[in-house]
Formats: sequence, structure tokens, C-alpha cells
Amino acid sequence: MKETFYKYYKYCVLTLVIFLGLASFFTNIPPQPSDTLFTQILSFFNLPNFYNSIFHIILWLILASILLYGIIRIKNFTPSLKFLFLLIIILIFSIIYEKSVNKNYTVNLRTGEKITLKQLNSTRADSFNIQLHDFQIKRNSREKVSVGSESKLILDSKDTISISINDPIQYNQYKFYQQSYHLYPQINLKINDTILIVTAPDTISYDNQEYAIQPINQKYTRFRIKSDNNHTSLIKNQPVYFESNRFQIVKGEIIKESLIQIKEIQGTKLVLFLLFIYLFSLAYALWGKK
Amino acid sequence: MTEPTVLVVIVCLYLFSAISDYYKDTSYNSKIFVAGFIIHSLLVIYRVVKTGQPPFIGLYGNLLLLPLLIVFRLVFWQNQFSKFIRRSAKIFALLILGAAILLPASMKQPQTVKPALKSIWMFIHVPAYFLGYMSIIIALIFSISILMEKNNDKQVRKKLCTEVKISFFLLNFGMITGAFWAYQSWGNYWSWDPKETWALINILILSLFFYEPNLKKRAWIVVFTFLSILFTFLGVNYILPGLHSYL
Repeated sequence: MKETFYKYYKYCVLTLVIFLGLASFFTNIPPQPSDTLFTQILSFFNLPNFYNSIFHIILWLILASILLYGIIRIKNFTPSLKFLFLLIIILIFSIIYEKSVNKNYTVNLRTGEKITLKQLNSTRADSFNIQLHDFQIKRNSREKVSVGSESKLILDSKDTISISINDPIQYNQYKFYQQSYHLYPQINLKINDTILIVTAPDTISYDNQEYAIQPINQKYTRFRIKSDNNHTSLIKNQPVYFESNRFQIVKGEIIKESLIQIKEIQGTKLVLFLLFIYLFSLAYALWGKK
Repeated sequence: MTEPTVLVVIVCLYLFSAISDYYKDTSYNSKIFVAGFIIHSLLVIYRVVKTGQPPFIGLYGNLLLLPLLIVFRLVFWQNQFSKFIRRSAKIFALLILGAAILLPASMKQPQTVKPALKSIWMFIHVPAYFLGYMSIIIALIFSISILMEKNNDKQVRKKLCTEVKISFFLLNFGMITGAFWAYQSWGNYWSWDPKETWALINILILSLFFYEPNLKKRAWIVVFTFLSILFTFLGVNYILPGLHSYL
């Protein structure tokens, strides 16, 4: 009995290890256009998307059934070990449930911008507005390095919450996290007498000619303007003649965009609680009374 | 005295102790080894004070801390280990310190800590892994001694099992505290990030140890776990991009 359990446990764990290991490499490979044997094998095992595949879930369910076999059939397993196995089985099912019902959304908002939950998930009944009221980047006073960021959100047009990195806020069945931010330099570019608003890096069209505008430095004070054959540097308020046109940055500002993650949290706390209990049961199974 | 010079002095003390150990085991060797340990500890403390960062930030800091933990075990629990284990552990510590010396100067500079890392969980999750790695290195040395048939008695079996138990628990503890931290910082307790996936792989491989009746096969499981941990610790950071690319 015990040998059968060991044998199946070993095979199942080794299969899981091989597929998890392979998937960690192939998840980073973009889909290949050609229909080679290699890509056929990849798609057969769904390796680039293995973690979300039914094959992956089946492997964990097989492991759960092997552990269940251990609980029911093997008499000389200690009660603490059987409890640990039971807990792992419950954990496998609750994680599969939690991952399948909950969705994550990442939204990019600029100050004043608004989005509704219905836009993110049309199936949700409890839709409400999310508006970015204010966004601040905290910097180290000495080195001017970013040490964090904070978003003030108005939810459902009435409740104001403030989130920062490592300090999320729960609202109804959602958790709001400050994930990161983007900075976009927005410039008013004057070409001869025409003013264009450009969020660099971008490509603009003027007089049937395409020009790429790219920031050169991180402070966004210098830009490179590039045509098909030529390029030059552009500094704020300093006109530059480039390919018979006069270019000048007349106004420049940095647009901040907050990256906020909204996560549905149905059953998440139960999983975390089970993980906590698992640690204690593991310690007891390893060192407790036999 | 500059930091690299101090590091070379520590390596010389450990090396002298390891070589003298090979010929004659005297209290004199032990004293030299303890002196190396004290200077090593002071160097780590000096770096913590100088950089204002915990010692496990950055690859260089990691390569200084891990051998210190191994040496700590050897100094305070020296009666637990046979001569072969003590010598091998010293060689391991020396190899890791050698790698620290060979790192390019740019990697030895203190790094800016990312905002998401500034959390109390960093002081629970990361040290748990380091202690787990220390135990798996000791278990690896026991396994090598078993595979080389240096010592296969009941005592060695018991000690190997104790080290694996400590390591298995700490790897689990590190992973679960990491899940709590990830839930707080990223909103997801588990993201199938390459580091997370490989942390789970390490635990799965090591779990086979408890079900394997054959001692040599158990020793091989520890060797494979060590190789898998080595890949998780270094390989994942440089080959597989993900949320954990901090080294």
C-alpha cells in the first residue's frame, strides 16, 4: 500500500516538476508563426499558457487524489500527516476555485480620468466609477530617486480612498493596489506656424513627411527628431532648422499616469488562512509527537 | 583597510583553518576559524551600517551572508558535525566567498531598494529562505558523504533527515510568507512568476525525500534539490525575467 502511494506520488510530482519547469521557460517565448514539430509540441501541451490550462489543473487534481488515497488506505500514516494531506487537498481545490472566479484588471489613469467597472468586465452587476483625483510620486530628497507613488481615487463618485505601494485598500469585493506609474512628456511642438501636441515618443506627420519624436534624457528636456534620412536634437524654446522646416518646443510638461491594479477577492482570504494553517500543520507533522 | 582586503583576510583565515584541519585537528585551527567568523560578521554589520540596507539586498550581499550562516552553524554546533562535514562546509563557504570576491565592482555597490521591497515581510520572507539554503547546503554535504560512502551510520541518516526537515519547513515558510507579501504588494498571492514557480519546484522535489526509503536515493534527491535551488537563486534572475528580478 505504502509503496503504491510512494510510486504514484513520485510520478505525479516528477510530471508536475517537468511541466512547471518547462512552462517557466516557454511562457517567455512569443508564439511562433511556423507550424514546426516544435511548435506543435508546445501547443499540444499548451506550454506557453500551461498555468491556465486544464492539463495543469488535472495534474494538481491527480496529486490531490493520490494524497486522498494516502489518507484513506494507509493505516500507519500519523494523524498529523493525514491532517496535513487533507489540508493540501483543500488548498488545491480552494486555489483552483479562487483563481477561476477572480479576475485582475490593470487600469492606466491620468489625473481627472474616469473609468467604470462595466468597461473592464461587462458581466459584473456591481459596476461603479473609478476616478483618479490626484497622483503623486514620492521622491528621495537627496538623490531624487522615486521611493513610491500615491493615488487618490474617487469611487462611485462619493468615496475617496488613497492607495500607495504596499498599502492597498479594499472596497466592496475589490482590492485596489498601486502597482506602478508611467511618465509621458507632452510637448507643444511648433513647426513653422503650426502647433502640434505630441506625447513623446510618437511619430507625427507634417507636409507629407513623417517625423519621429523621442525623448533623449530622463528629465525630458531634450528630444531627438528623426526623419527617414536625418536626425537632430531639440531643446525647449530653442528653434532648430531641420529639413527646411523650423521646429521649436514652445511648451512642455510631464503627464503622469498611475497604474492601478483592481483585484476581485472572492475566497482569497480563505486561501491565505489555509496557507497559514498549513504552516503550523507542517511543523507539527515534521516535529510533533509521532 | 578596504572592504576587498578584509574579504581576502577572511578567505585566508578560513582557507588556513580548512587546510590545517586536513592535517591536524587542533584547538588552534578552531581559534583561527572563529577569528575569521568574527571578522566576517563585523564586515557584514559594517556593510549594513554603511549602506543602511539589510545584508540580503543584491547578489554581493547574498554571497557574503550565505557563507556567514554556514560558518555560524559550524562555530556554534561544531560537535554536531564530523571532520569530513566540517571540512566540506568550510570549502563551500570559501567557494561562495571566492565568488563574492570575483564579482565586478559595479555589482558590489549598494543598490536602490525598490519601493515594493520596503515592507516588514522582507525581514521574514528573505531570511527564511537564506536559513533554508544554509540547511540545504549542510544536507548536501551529508548527502555527498553518504554517496562517497564516507559515513553511512544511523547517526548520519538522522542528521541528514533533521537538516532536510529544517530546510523543507523554511522553504515552505519562505514561500508562504512570500505569498502574504505578494498579496499585499502586487494584489496576487501567486502569479506563476518564474521565481515563484521554481520555489514550488524546489519544495516538490524535496518532498520526495520523505517518501523514499533508500538512503542513497534520498541523498540524490537532496543533490537535485540543491541544483534546483541554485538555478532558482541565480539562473532564474538572469535567464527568466519576472517580478523577482532584484539581484
